[in-house]
Amino acid sequence: MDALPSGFFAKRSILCECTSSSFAAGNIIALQFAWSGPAPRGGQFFLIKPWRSGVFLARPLSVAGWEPRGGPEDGGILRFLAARRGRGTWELADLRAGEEAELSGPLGKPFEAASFPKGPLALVGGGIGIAPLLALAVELGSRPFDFYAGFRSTSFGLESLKARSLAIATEDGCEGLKGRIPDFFSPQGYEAVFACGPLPLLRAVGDACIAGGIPCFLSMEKHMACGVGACLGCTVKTTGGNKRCCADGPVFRAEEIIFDD
Amino acid sequence: MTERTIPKKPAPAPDFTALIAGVRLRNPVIAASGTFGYAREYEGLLDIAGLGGICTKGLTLAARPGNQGRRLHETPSGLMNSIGLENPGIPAFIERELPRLRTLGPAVIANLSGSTVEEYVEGARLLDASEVDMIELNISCPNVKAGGMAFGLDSAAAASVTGPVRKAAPHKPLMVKLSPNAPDLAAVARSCVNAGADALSLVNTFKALAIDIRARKPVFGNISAGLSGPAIRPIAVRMVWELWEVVKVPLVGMGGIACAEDALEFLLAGAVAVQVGSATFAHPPAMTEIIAGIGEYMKEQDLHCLGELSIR
Repeated sequence: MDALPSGFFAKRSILCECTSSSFAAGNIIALQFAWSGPAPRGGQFFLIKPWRSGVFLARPLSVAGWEPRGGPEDGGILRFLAARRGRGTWELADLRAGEEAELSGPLGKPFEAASFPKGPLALVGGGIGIAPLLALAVELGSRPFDFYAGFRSTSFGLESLKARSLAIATEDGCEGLKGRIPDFFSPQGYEAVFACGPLPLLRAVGDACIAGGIPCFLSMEKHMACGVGACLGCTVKTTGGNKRCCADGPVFRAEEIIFDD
Repeated sequence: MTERTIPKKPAPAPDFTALIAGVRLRNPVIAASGTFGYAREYEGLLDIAGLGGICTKGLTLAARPGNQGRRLHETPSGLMNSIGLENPGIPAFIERELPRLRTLGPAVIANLSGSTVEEYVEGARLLDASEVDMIELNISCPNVKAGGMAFGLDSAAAASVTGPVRKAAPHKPLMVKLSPNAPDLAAVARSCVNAGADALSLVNTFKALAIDIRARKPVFGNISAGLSGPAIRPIAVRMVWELWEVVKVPLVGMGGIACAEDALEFLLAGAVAVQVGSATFAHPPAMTEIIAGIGEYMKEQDLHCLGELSIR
């Protein structure tokens, strides 16, 4: 039997209390939950379903932040950003402090920034895609990193970010640079790049990094059912064949991904 | 004022054993094929050791990559899927997944699929020589172009694969998984039993269609896909009820079971065990709760063994 990486089994399904729900911007809601399960890493996600729910499946949300309460067994506060898109995410956005939701996780593979200990790192996010990068940023601690964030109109979620530099671009020019964030990003000078956001962003950032020979990791998004690698519904096409976004990812090396949609 | 009552002898714990064609399950709840991977994926999210059985993902002789494009679409109280039997192939399953599955405790049921009778037969031979407890012959996958559900739609086709698989796997109990899309399900069921099926499981997913009105085209590349989830449950219960009158072999019921009450409907309708599928996606501990809930119901109804659940 092949050995599983440590922590592979460290996931739980727990009915949790929503401790805070607040408007972030546009259709984005910031949610917090009291979590008593294993600590998550940046890039991992949870399946979340309000206890009172009219949809069938839970929704996968990337961890945007994690505040441990004490020791590793003591749990803490999980933070998420949810974009209202369909009925499921509307329900999440309608959660109020004190209400309960079932959370299953932490799921998927995290960003492995520890493998790149030398130079500065770049984190490139678009819209709700900044969420897992915010969690990664906290893990980086005092390591130097630059954060590139693109939005449609107004920024959100960046309040407590401690980046060496922060570049913001908005498509309508309301804030920061006018345009899309990949247009203002070059991977030169970075030891590694971590990105999450819409497919065109991932593709542009990935291509630039591959061309420049800079290691690049992309967090992919797919429709999911089980979230744990059992149903094979969230396939990502890679150079190594079909992979499961939820269990083999959601973080993949840029050169693995075949963008054909 | 106290009233003295003679303490009742504590009721013995209900006997939860389910017997399907000689295979003894510790309880009647089985993880349905295609929804539980090879079990290790769910480690930590529910009590896997406490399950009655585990059906593997649909296995074919050679590895398959599955379908392109969109594979999932949620519906009200349901889920459409078009996975297309992605699996590592039976030899790889036996070598890499089965040894670990065997150690978990629940009965291991290999779901056997294929495109041709020859492919099914060759796969059945390999499984017959393996450590699986039972073979579930899948003649009902609606998401593959060749074979799959085509074998489950009429009685002659069903017999044409069940008979040879029966002969190729003489040492394993054989359960045939039926398609609710068969125009005459009773005829298919009779035909499978006559061809050697020891048990029947039903139902696989319903062939269904969703259209993306923005893109103005079907959601799935294969146009249609298979619908599961609570939306199909009452139809599945009706099919189990009807087949109970048609065949005498054990029936394993499934289709949209999400809680103990749902499972009990199938058991009361005459099923000896149930399978739970997409409910696990929506609520990972669902099967653990269903097992506990069936036990509570049996105590409450003063039933001592599973067989007493049936109202048939």
